[in-house]
Amino acid sequence: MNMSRPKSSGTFDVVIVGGGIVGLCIGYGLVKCQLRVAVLDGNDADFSASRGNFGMISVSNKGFSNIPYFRLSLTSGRLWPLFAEELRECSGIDPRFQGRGKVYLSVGDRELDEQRRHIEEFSQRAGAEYRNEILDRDEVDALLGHVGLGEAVSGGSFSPLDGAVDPLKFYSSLLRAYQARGGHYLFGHIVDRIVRDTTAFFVRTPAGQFSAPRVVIAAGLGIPPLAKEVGLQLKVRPERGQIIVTERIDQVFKYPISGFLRQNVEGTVMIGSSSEYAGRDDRTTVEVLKELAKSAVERLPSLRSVQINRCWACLRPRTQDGYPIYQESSEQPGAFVVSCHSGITLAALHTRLLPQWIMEGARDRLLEPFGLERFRDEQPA
Amino acid sequence: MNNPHETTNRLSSMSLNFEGCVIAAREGETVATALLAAKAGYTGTSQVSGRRRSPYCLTGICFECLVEVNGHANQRACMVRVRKNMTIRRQNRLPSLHLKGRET
Ligand SMILES: Cc1cc2nc3c(=O)[nH]c(=O)nc-3n(C[C@H](O)[C@H](O)[C@H](O)COP(=O)(O)OP(=O)(O)OC[C@H]3O[C@@H](n4cnc5c(N)ncnc54)[C@H](O)[C@@H]3O)c2cc1C
Ligand code: FES
Repeated sequence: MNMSRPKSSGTFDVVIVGGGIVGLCIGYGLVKCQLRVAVLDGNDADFSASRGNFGMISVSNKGFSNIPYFRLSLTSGRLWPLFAEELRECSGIDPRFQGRGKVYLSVGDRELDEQRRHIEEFSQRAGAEYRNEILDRDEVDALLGHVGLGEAVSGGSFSPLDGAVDPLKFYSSLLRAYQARGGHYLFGHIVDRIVRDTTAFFVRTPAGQFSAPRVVIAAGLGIPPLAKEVGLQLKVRPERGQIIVTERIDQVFKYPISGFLRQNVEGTVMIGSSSEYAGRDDRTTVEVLKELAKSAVERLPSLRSVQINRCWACLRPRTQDGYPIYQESSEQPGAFVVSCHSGITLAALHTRLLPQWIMEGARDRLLEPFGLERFRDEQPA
Repeated sequence: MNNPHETTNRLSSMSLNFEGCVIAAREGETVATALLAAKAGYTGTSQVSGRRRSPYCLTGICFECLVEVNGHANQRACMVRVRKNMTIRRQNRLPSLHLKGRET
């Protein structure tokens, strides 16, 4: 990867703390507006959801209980095709975006009934923009190219709103595109202090100090202590996810299934993303991996003969209620905090809407419901 | 003493069938080392780049050495010990799920 050599200091228009997907999307959006941007990132040993995720662009299952969150995800989903194309052109790396939609497989008649009711209710809440169609067993079988459904599969649904990228290709194309547009990316620059004088923020790392009139804290699990530096109190909790990757096999199913089973263009099948709370322990566990493998084989029994090549666990940064946070500090205007649970899904939207908010101060109405005000009554830890 | 390297170095009469040719192998070694020692050339074609590959890391990590062992595709040659009557083929395509399904 093409990384800039550490510089000991610098003055920028915006300094971004955290070089995961969230920080880089903001950075990429800003450099496209001809701004001078530095992204200060941590080390390989840091927790980084952006380097270990499942790569789904999930819309149809987002925001059932929070329609503004559905709208946010939906808007991002719509921006994704153009965003992916732009990244590919700018970086020379194809993020392998596919926006064909997602199949959901129901196991047992009860689950199919529940899925039907869920979709009806979701459509009522979200309106005509919500698209998800219930299918019987034969219909999902045909959609998946007669790959051989498990006996218990009762049917399912198909939503054209969802998509996927190759998670590692996406991360590297985003970083490359950001740098190609003139963005500075500084690896191994762990920020320990953010101080402000009348004109600028001074962002300190053991490797040097950086200053800018605006600073964005997008450091995933590293957010809380940094947010405190600029007068913002919030919790970000680690939510562990485990993933199985198989050997490469011929392309067998062209849609991601139920958000936990997908095949990459290169042939590997990914099974995953459990979700558990295990503190800051990012190791895999046999019990969870076994459950993942079992659910996969229950739906597609022919996967039984496929070898597992790798498994890993990774921690998602999760806000208190699981919804994104876009907040400027009222105590120290010019300092912003951004965190979200589905940084891949929201990447296209973040690139488009966050730069404007950061430079002009006005939050787009789509972002408006996601400030820290909503936690006002809760006691931050 | 039971030195594994001694075992490896003891020449045995074992042989492998690689793409129809007979290749000498030593007891205790892996398919990858036998193929390298026999100068068997490339061991497969990458489905991603379309280029010819052969063993690289010899520690099971890089997956450059994939071969078909007795009809089973996607086997890392560096992780498989030689056995009697092994048939090894270059892997030039991805196994299909349906064919794999029938193997078991
Ligand atoms: C298993 C798993 C599966 C997932 N699947 C999906 C999915 O299918 N779809 C989807 O949309 N999302 C998915 N996610 C979530 C998605 O990966 C995250 O929302 C996203 O990566 C968050 O990005 P981030 O930049 O906020 O955080 P991170 O990727 O965690 O990056 C934070 C960065 O900040 C740096 N940092 C921390 N502290 C400091 C400091 N003091 N100074 C400088 N730098 C610092 C770290 O080094 C790190 O690089 C998944 C996550 C996991 C773990
Ligand atoms: S040579 Fe690297 S995995 Fe076999």
